[in-house]
Amino acid sequence: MGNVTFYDRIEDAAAHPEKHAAVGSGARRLLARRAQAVAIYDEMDEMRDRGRLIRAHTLSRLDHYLGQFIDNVEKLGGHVFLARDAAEANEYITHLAREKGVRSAVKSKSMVTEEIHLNDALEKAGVRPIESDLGEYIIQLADERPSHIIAPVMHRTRQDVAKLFSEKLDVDYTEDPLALNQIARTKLRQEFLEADMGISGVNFAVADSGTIAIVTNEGNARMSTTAPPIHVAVMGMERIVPSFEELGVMLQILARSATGQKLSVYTTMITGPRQSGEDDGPEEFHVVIVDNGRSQTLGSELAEILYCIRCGACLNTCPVYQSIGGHAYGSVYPGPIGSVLTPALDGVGPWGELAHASTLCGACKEVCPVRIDIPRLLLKVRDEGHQAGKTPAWLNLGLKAYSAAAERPGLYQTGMKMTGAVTRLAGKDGWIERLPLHLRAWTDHRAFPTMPNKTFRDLWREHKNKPE
Amino acid sequence: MEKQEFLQNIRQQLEKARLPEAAAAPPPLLELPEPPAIDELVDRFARELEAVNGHVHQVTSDSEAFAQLEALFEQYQAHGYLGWDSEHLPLAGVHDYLTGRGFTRGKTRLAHELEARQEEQNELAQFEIGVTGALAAVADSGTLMVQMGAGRGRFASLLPVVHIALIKADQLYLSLNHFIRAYPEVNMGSSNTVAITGPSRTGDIEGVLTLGVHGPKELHVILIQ
Repeated sequence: MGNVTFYDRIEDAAAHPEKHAAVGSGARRLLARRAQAVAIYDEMDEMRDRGRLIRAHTLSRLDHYLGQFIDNVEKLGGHVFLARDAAEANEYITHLAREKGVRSAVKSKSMVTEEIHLNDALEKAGVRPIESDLGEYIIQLADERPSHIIAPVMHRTRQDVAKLFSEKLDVDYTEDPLALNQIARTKLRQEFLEADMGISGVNFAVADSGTIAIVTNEGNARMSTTAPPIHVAVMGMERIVPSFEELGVMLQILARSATGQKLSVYTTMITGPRQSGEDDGPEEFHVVIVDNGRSQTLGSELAEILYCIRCGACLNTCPVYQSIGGHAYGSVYPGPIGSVLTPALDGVGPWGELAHASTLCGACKEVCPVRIDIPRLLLKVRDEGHQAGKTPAWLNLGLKAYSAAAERPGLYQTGMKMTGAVTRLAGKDGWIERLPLHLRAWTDHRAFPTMPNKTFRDLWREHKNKPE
Repeated sequence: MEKQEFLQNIRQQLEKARLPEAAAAPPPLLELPEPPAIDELVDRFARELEAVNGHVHQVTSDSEAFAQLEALFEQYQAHGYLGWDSEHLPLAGVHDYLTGRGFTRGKTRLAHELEARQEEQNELAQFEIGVTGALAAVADSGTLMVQMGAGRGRFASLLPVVHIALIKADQLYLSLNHFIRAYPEVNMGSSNTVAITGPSRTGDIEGVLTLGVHGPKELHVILIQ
């Protein structure tokens, strides 16, 4: 993934203003809801501090809590598979599917399953995966990737969805979201009840009981983990809390940060498969715990990014995300979180450029429910890239020259005066339409201002000598 | 990967991990405020649940509760329902009452054998109403803590378009934290406990609120004081 490709994706985003408008307004809507929810919750700051401590402590003893969780799941008759990477996770799940004669698998929304490309693996193994979250269902029909970790189809309008449904589902064209919803409900209900396997993510695993908690508003996680006879839960290995006390805290800060709700409509807590005597539930329960770069991240300078609870607030507040949308990032995790997590999991080499798509304004850190210092981590990613020789020669040279001048006030002053004169020569009516050579990219979409006649020092000297 | 290898790998990485603010233990238990009187809890619960499109019917006697139940069945023109076993409902004689009035009660206890289970599951879709109890309720968010198990099917509060939950006022807790403090082992041996806060919803299409996506479209709580 060279700089050119990311740039191309950004250009593409800029070339589709409708998509940009949809994402921008969607993100700002969620941001406003978060603000409302936080305003009426006096304890929010306290809970965020607490949430951070919980994440930090839990990760510092991750081996202990995972060990405890695994033992508890197995005690109840559940199966646990520990996957070093995406390939191992997909191998386990497709093998299980083949063994059990699974033809269709209904899925509730799970970012980690997108990360490991589980749907592709299932399809190759002859299993039909069906996304059940309404947003995910829509993008599956459109053969697209999600553009936001909470609202996957934020980039699409109701007209888009209407057209998609009428084409792919053979139904009458309607733009009414309520009618579109009813269509999806009916189609998916059939899928839920007939699927051979249900696949879910895990918002939080509870170590001391072997419970997994899954949060939705639609009820699709409940359906996916109740109707089919086999349930496979896929879990990023860092998504764990010690006990229900900590789960309570995390659920409350998650809901408020993500969508401005006090709690999501459904928090389904699953502890093992259907016990004998119970009325219903899956006969088999599997948890696939995925590493896929997380343990390496744990031992790296970027470990703090693992505190993330996937609320999406940083996306909603980021001016860059609002402008370019989720797809431009080219990875499953977009926005500020993705700009650190993707390089951390998949390598700074191919993905470090994401960390440059930021003004380091710090808005993400302001809203993060567990106060991750994302700007600090972005700088770390940039630094790693620089150490690995990713900075182009001309920029290195330019920065060295600037540093040298900045350390010599006389040279700096002269340099500024000369640069000012050059810009005024090159410019017209106060603006330079096109910067030369490597700086040309700056002026692809905007003009560069010429520098004023007087420098700050000139003005300072003048004012200093003025009478009070 | 083998468990020991997996965990050992994590241990090795932890030796050089830089985790800001990591302490040796989880933070000490939250100090919980004293809950207000039951009447206040009831009012708060009703307000919060109604704010998320649920309905709360406060009744002060069993006969009022039955009347409310029948009124809802009539409102939705239901012909049948999925219901929890009597011993898990805070109102005695619900099934006699409803079946006595001509409503069909669906069979919620499914077979274990896959083919029979599939057949029985398909039968469940026809019922318009689900009637359940709850383990507890949370006032400051309008949440029902619904615990499944023997005689407490998952589908009753999930499949039908209308979910009616019967609870007693003394099952109310002020906050989720209060509830968890009272039930530190939330799961209590059950394979499924669900915190339900209103009817099913989504804003996925342009942020427009739609109710009844995959779960119930209507949630009615009959709260017996």
